Amino acid sequence: MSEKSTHDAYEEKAKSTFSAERKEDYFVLAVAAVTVALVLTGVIGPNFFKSLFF
Amino acid sequence: MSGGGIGVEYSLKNLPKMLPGLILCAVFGWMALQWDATMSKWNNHFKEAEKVLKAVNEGKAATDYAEYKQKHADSFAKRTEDFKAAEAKYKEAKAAGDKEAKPPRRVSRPVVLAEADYNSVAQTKAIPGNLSFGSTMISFQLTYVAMLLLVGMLIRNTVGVPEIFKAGTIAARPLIKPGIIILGAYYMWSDVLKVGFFGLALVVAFVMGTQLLISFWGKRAKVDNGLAGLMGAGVGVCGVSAAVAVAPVVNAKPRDFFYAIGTILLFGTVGLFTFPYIGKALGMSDPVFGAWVGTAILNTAQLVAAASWYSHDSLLTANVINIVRVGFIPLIVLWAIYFYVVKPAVDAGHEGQKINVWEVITTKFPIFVFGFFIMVTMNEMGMFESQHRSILAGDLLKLFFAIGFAGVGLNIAFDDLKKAGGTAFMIGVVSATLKAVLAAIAVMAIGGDAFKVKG
Repeated sequence: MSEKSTHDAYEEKAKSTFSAERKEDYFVLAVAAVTVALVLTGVIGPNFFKSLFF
Repeated sequence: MSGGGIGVEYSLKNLPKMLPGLILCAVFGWMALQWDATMSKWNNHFKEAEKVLKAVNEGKAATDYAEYKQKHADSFAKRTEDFKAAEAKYKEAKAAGDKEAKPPRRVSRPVVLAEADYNSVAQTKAIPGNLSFGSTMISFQLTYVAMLLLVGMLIRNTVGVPEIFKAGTIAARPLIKPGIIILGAYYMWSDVLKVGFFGLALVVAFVMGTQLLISFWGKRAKVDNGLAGLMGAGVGVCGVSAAVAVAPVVNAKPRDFFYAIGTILLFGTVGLFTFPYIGKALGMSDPVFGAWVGTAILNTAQLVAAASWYSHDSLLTANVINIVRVGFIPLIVLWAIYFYVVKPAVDAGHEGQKINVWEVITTKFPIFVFGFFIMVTMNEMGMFESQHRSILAGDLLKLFFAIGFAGVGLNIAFDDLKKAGGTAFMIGVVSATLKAVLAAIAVMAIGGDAFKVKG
């Protein structure tokens, strides 16, 4: 692989990785927002965690 | 890396591919938390058995199990009554506008031994084996974090992870990030600013220092720009993602990339499994350990795991330092552009390439940290009651972390670690070790008060 094409391949890889990470960040922000909403509205209460285990 | 690294893109199209692995990680996470709950219960019962044993040896024990149980029930009823009275007083004071009033602590149920365990202690004057086992596991810090990492790594490197689960186990790792965000419910801005201030000083001194050291050492040792640039970004600030960000800037070759990633993963893995024990051996307090791993361990997933392994208070400190650290990714990319592209061009008498600083910052900044800041602001505004904080920053945090750590453990492959090698490996490992040692000295000298999160 020539130096130019190696560079281009990495440029592409970096762009796709950061695009994927940006999507990942939006996803985790959404998950966190839903979680907080469930706790504040009382859907997830103090006994939720304990109820998952023996 | 800022948490996920090179993985599977989150999209509905990829969901069927990710689902089996995500379910596997959820099951592993649940099993590890169940282990934690059992060990914690046995440890509490071990402490209670010690009290019973002491009473038996001193001749002060209850005459039988029924009397022992009744004593605890009476004591609990009395404490509950006291709590209710204190809570009523607190509500009155609050209604009267007393801002200094503090809510009373909730009464926890007393630990009562099972009849068989009680009789065993009373008759044999020894503590039953299962209770001692729980206490031993806890004293060796074999918590859910350790179990997920150790067992995951063992599975990955012996029987292996079947292809069908691989995408999902990689996709599980970023689920640590919602945990980091909701942990924000525990902080006040004064905590973030105080710890963040010292964190910023540590990040500038050690993280940027490592980047500079590797850049200049790499030049002197005539290591390729590509490899030195990747190593500096990876070892200095943020693992795999930073290396990927810098790769095109420094014209990295595929071999450089694998060497750098191998070194980063190797050091991170060794740090993850040894730092909690080194911290205990050096007598580091929880905040000091949190500050240390926040500075010395190279990526979010590994440092969050190491800090959680140590204690919840360590995690609170490490989280703030990490937020500061990942904010430095754009700066590291800017440095690499300057050092490996602009400076050599200017030195050679050519016009330097123009850098679009704003574009680099906006495209490389990890935006999930805004979620954390929003949570801190909501807490500051009094939107969370103590019960909400306990559910978010205690229970649900553990659930997210358990799934994420299962993904981390199942992705520690020795084959990846073997890819490290050569002069650059030596430069990377020496720099990372030096950073860890100097950071340990610095945080211990600064002391726990500077890093303590009061909440």
